Amino acid sequence: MLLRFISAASLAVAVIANSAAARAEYPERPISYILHVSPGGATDIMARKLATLLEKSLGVPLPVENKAGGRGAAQLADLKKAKPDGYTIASVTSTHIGAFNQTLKQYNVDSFDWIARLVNEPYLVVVRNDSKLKTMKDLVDTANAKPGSVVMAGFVRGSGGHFAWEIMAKAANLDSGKVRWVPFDSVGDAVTSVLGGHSEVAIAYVDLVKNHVTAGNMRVIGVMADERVPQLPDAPTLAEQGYKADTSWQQMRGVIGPKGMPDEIKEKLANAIKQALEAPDMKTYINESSLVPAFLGPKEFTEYAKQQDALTKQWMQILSLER
Amino acid sequence: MIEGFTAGLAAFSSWQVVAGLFAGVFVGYLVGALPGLSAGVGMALLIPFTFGLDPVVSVVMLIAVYMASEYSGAIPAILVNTPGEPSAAITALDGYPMRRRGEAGHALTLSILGSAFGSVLSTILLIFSVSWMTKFALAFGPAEYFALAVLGLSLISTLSGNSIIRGFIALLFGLLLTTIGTDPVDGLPRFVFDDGFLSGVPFVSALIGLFALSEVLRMLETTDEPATPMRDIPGVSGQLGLMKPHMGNMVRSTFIGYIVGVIPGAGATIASIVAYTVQKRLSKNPDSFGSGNPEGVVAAETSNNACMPGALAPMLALGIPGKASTAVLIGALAIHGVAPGPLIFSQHPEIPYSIYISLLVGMPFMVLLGLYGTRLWVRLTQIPRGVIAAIVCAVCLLGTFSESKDIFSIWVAIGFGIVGYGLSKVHIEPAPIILALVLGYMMESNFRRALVMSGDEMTVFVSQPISAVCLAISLVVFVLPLIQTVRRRRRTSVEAAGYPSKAV
Amino acid sequence: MSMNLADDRTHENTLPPATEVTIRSELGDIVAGLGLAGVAVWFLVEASALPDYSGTAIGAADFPKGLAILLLLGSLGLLGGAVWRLATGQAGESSTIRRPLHVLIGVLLLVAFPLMMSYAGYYLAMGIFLTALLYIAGITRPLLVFGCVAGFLLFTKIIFEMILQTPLS
Repeated sequence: MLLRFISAASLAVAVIANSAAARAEYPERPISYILHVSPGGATDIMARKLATLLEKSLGVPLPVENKAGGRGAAQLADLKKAKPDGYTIASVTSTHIGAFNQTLKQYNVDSFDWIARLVNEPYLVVVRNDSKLKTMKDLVDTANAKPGSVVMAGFVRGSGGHFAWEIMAKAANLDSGKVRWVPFDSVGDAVTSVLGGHSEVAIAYVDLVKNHVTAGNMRVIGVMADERVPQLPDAPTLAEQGYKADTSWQQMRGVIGPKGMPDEIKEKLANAIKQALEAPDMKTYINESSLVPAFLGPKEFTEYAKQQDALTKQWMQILSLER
Repeated sequence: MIEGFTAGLAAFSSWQVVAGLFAGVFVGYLVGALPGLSAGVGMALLIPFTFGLDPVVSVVMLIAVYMASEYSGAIPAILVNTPGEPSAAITALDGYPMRRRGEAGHALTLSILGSAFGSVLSTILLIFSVSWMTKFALAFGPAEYFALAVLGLSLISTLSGNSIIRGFIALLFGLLLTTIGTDPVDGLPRFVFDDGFLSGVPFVSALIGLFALSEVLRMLETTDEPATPMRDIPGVSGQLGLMKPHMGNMVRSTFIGYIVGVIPGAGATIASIVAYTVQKRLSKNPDSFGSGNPEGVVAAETSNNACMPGALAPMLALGIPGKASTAVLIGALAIHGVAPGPLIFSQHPEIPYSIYISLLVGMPFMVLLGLYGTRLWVRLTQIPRGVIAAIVCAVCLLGTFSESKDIFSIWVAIGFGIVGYGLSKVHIEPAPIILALVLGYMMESNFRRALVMSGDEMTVFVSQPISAVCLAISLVVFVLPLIQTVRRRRRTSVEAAGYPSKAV
Repeated sequence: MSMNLADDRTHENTLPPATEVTIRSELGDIVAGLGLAGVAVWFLVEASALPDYSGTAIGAADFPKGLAILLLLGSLGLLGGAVWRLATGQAGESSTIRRPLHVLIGVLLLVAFPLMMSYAGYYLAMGIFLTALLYIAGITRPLLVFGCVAGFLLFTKIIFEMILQTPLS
């Protein structure tokens, strides 16, 4: 870190010295990368890895700032204040899009520039190994037979995981009210609650459950993706079981910037990100963490964000979560 | 187990591992002693350094940070009533009054030796019980967490000084503050009059404000007085001798710390409060707790350090991050493709065993640093009061800022500082407010979660053994002191209603 | 913090000499009781405006409502006790604030610090704040004040900005 500081300092000196040399090519000074999570979590670590790789390819330092709090409120407030000159970028996940429609209504998809999508994570339906629910059909049948008997653990109401379950329930023609959705503080807590037998089912991600599945503590009864997950070859997709749920609904991670960034800067950043995602140790990390590489450039990512936003709005209305 | 230890020891023959251990202890000492910078933050700061390191080196370094910072939080708590780590708030209850009597050296010695004892014994407990303690950790569902929170809150009477009514008012005020923020079940913002409160009242800012900044204002009242005279501390062997009367206390507090630590999300502050209360109940002179009883310092420090190995049990065996610091550890291991969880003992036995070894090997080093450090730290009490007040204030403001990197958090700390100063003038103490801030969210969110699960069936709280037992104990713990107080008051009916007989 | 820690507690304070404000503790209780009751009422009002989405027995508003009512009762009890003691002329204790002017200036300095920091940046704000606070706290020897301020700013620069990477400017 000290080294990073020294390099930043010497760079700053260099920039001042060259100020007469008018506009050098972007980037010519450090780019700050604002995260919405506190240090140490999965999103944070991946962002820090990305920052290290981008420093190499762009040739400037990328100091990472953690602005956790309020489902992105603290981070977005900072991003909103920043100039759209490419020297401030920020992390984004599906949670942000959910928050735009709920707690952070002062923002919407158009408030920011969408630079690049990094990875996706499909949603899974998991149970403890001794559960009598073996397939999605068991889950649907049990819920129909005895409404309220199935307790499903997940993140807060209106989160990506909650919508994922609603999408599944609709595909299965099940009234989702027959299953008790219990909101936990994190998806990890929801998984723990299933392991402890306090809840029957959880909506989770691959990375959180794969070791428990391998160790024989847990079972995946449905994967909300087009294909099976390499880490969980025995877990069937929903489509295999005859439920046609919209598999584009996944947890995504990406990079955004303040509204109004010049196109060439966005392209340059997106290209550097694309390269970084293909670097060997990033690839290893993505694979170890059971993420699915899903790069999208600025244009496609903007479209994707809009589409996810429309879906969110639609589900909010269906679930009467409109506030 | 033997093979595991061999693998772990083999890793320790590398100089890098030893260097990592020392580096970690130093960084941990520093972040622990600085208010606002918690163990988790210190560990997260080191993560970028660990990218290029061997997984064993990085985990040893991070564990050393964790261990050292859990201890060193007691130093500013004792010296200037400023807990460096949240759990040290309980240490300050008796440590700071001791320092005001000139016994800073004594209190610091008790804290380092108590910490060391707790940490080592708890590590041994961890090594032998890690596999079956996970069952205990998993037994905690929403109903159990609610009952645990209630049990913690029922200890209020221990912390409320001489007036139970005032203790209650402080507790309710704190509990009400924990409802500020995004609702745990519906995701609805409640009482959020500033966007900064969306994720709740920032705990570290509140803690710094209530303890440290209000103390700075109190110090301003007395900066014209000379510094407290310092009593001599015995030599190192004499320092060790100070622990003799506290053996039973330390063993009890270690067990309490370890068991509370195993429960994910419970944490060192709860462990300290429980051990402190138990010791107060068993003590021969319970009335001197809160006004500088060494037993209180020993109980609080032993249990909060014993908590840390406990928290490693669910993290190692289940991959459950019980709190921020263990979450950072999981993240750091993930960088190297090591996932704590049910497979770690078979796939990467060197990781858990090098953690055990670093806890055991690092401790003597920390004790030496702590004992010799004590000689240095007590000198700080000889600095003019005005300098102490000003520097403590500046460090606190900066510590708050560096935790969130947001001026808003400074405002929160200052607000709590002024309110805390005012409340202390009417004998409403900060400790019950902190207790409420630690437990309020846990109580409400789990109560409502349990009701959602059971379909509004209230019996869920008493139908399970753990929650039923916790609730029953809390009822007893809560009612007993009330009866005692009422009796005492009958005897001395001269005393005005609800008024403390002496300043705390 | 290892800079000039030389012993000097003998400085004349140029502010007014140590004074004391002693108030009857009943008065303090009444002020605190009113303040806390106000907080409780605010929470009650806000809570009653909260919608209930949960569909369960205990919704988002119920916990805070219950707590606010209890706090209201508690603070009214504090208030009532004080009034009763005043009315019956029972001798209560008194609460003392030494050097109230110093404390008040300390409070004002605390409030001024974040304002200064947003306008003047960290280093300047902290420099001014610390100098003033040391002065209030009776440290007036210029060299010691300078040593403390410069030492602290250097400490921040090295520990917080360089090692802990807190953005300070």
